[in-house]
Amino acid sequence: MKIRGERDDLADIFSRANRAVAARSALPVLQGLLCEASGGVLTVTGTDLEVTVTTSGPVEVMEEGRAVVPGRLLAESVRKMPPGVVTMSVGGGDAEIQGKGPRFTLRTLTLDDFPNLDMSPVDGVEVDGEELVNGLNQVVVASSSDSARPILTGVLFEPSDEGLRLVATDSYRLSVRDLPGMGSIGSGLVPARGLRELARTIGGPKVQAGMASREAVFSSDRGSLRLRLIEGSFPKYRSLLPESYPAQVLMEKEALLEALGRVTLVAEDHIPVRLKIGNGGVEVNVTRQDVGGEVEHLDAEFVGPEEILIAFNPRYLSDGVSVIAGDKVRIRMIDSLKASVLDDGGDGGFLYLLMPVRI
Amino acid sequence: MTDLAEEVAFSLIGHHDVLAFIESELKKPSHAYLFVGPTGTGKATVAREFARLLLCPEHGVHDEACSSCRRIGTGNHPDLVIVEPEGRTSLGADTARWVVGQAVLTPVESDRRLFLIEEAGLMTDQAANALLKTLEEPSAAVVFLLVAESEEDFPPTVASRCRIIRVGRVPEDDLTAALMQRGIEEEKARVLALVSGGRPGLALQLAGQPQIAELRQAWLSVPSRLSARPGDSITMAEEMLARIDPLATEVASSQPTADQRDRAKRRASQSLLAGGLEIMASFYLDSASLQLGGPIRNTDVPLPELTRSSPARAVAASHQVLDAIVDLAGNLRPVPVLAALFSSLAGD
Repeated sequence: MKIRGERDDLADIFSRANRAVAARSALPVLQGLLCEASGGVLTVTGTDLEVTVTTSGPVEVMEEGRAVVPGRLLAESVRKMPPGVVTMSVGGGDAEIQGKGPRFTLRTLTLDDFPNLDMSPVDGVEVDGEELVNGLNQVVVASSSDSARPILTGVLFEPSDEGLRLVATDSYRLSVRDLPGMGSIGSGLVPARGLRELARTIGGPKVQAGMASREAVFSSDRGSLRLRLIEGSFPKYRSLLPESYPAQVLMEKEALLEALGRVTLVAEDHIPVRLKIGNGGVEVNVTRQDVGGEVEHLDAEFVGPEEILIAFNPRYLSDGVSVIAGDKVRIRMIDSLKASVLDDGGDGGFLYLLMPVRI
Repeated sequence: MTDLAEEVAFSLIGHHDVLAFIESELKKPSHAYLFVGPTGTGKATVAREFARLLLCPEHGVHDEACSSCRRIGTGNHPDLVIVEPEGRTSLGADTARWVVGQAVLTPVESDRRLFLIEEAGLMTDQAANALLKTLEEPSAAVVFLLVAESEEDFPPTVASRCRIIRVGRVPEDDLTAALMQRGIEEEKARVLALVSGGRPGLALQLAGQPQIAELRQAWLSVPSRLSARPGDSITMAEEMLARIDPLATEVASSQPTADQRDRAKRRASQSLLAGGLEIMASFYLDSASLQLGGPIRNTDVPLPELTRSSPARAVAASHQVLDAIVDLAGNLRPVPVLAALFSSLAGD
């Protein structure tokens, strides 16, 4: 196999595919990127078996062929070439990367060892890529990173009356996003870790999305992202959503975020931030015995029968506030012990349910 | 012998009953198996063979290795997850949690996803607890294959969730014959079978080592060299371990990483020590048998040496030697165990 292309084009193709290559892998061959040159196109695939990224682009193909080349070295060596044309040729167990001056020789991995990944296209729908990515960003914050609770490391894709509903929870908070018109993407439990890669690997204005029997598949003109589905049943979250809220408060999103930024200077993860919410606005207060504390006042519109004192984990609260679209944030509450719900105050199709901390 | 047994007989020595059982499990495998048996008997080989057959689209019935079988050989099959301990001596909770996370993902190529834990006995209690729920009710596609010396290496909760397959030692004559089939001359094959104590894996690894016959002679000569002088026992214990050490290092040298070499060396040392003590025990049994008019195994030992102790004392001595093997399997340090044994035998 022998190809030639602009450094920047090749670096882009290799480095995006390399995002799926894990630093350490149980299978030696997965350290490599599968490179395939044919018909004027270079197609590159990297995988850790959970996340598979395929990128492609037009290059000058002097000799068609396939090879598996160490991913990190390939991506980095091309990126560090001087600007201009870069040639890659494979033969005799080596891949030669030649730029203007420098030349790398990289030992290739055994082509036959590379897994036979199912690359068949799926029936999907074309959706607005930006809207999908924004929706995903709103829910992945609530997913768990604890692999001992694997079901919670996924985002639930669930067709609903509204279109597509995305749900994630780590059992302390729950994020729900409705995306109108995307219902036919299908249902499945998709690893959040892989969904975070969507924008950086293949994101674009238009994205095709659909479910195969074992994978969620996203593709665009920049390539494809395939995420192995998680098997298991997602917690029944509907019963967690309160039906009515006696109290609510509406405030400026940025003001609250800035206040929480100051709070976290003092608080650690396990130190709660206390909110005293009433007709005068919100008093934000954090104290840590061995350090000190911080207190401040935020203007807010409160509706409710009486003042509420409620406390949250500051990081969880700030995660939720930061992914709300728009300028306002509304917190709807039942009392200081039951779950509160954050949203933008209108009907943005998004809510973030957060369990308070007992004080 | 079934077709399956014939096919793998080349790589695997003995264990025909185990292979037959494995074959009967292929159609509807359970969700977890525990392969137990002494070090070097081939239980990991049996477990890998089971993995190969479970993943092979043709259940291993083909002339040339298929892509699936070939990649299991090179450690590159995407649906066979090989779980290694993190360091030299333990398989901890972090690895267990990683396994739990991996076990919910759908298979890549095959219709199953296998987790092979070859040194499952190194699992910490925390790791075992983290794995319990997954071991009990994994996703339908998942099969766990655990390999360990004994089910007692785990909390009972782990072993009770697995179907247990015992891979025992191979009878001396079977092992000798199998080694001869692989081109090893008879006399050497017999010595290898004896020194390895019926452990085919160890016997094959030792086949290239010239000092094997010498090692056997050294163990056979221990009874006549025993001395009641203080200090001699410990010197002799250290000498025997020094004979074993280079062989164990050599056996372990093919492992790719330092941690794996350390673990392989420890296992080989334990097996060689147990094999050596068994040779010693057989000396005492020969001694009793000869004086009672029965057959003897170690025909090359000079007869006067075999008649030094009375039959009753020889039998008692063989018991002491076998007890020492049990103590060593319980992870007592070898030098004091051997020294105590030698000194006690010398005093009798």
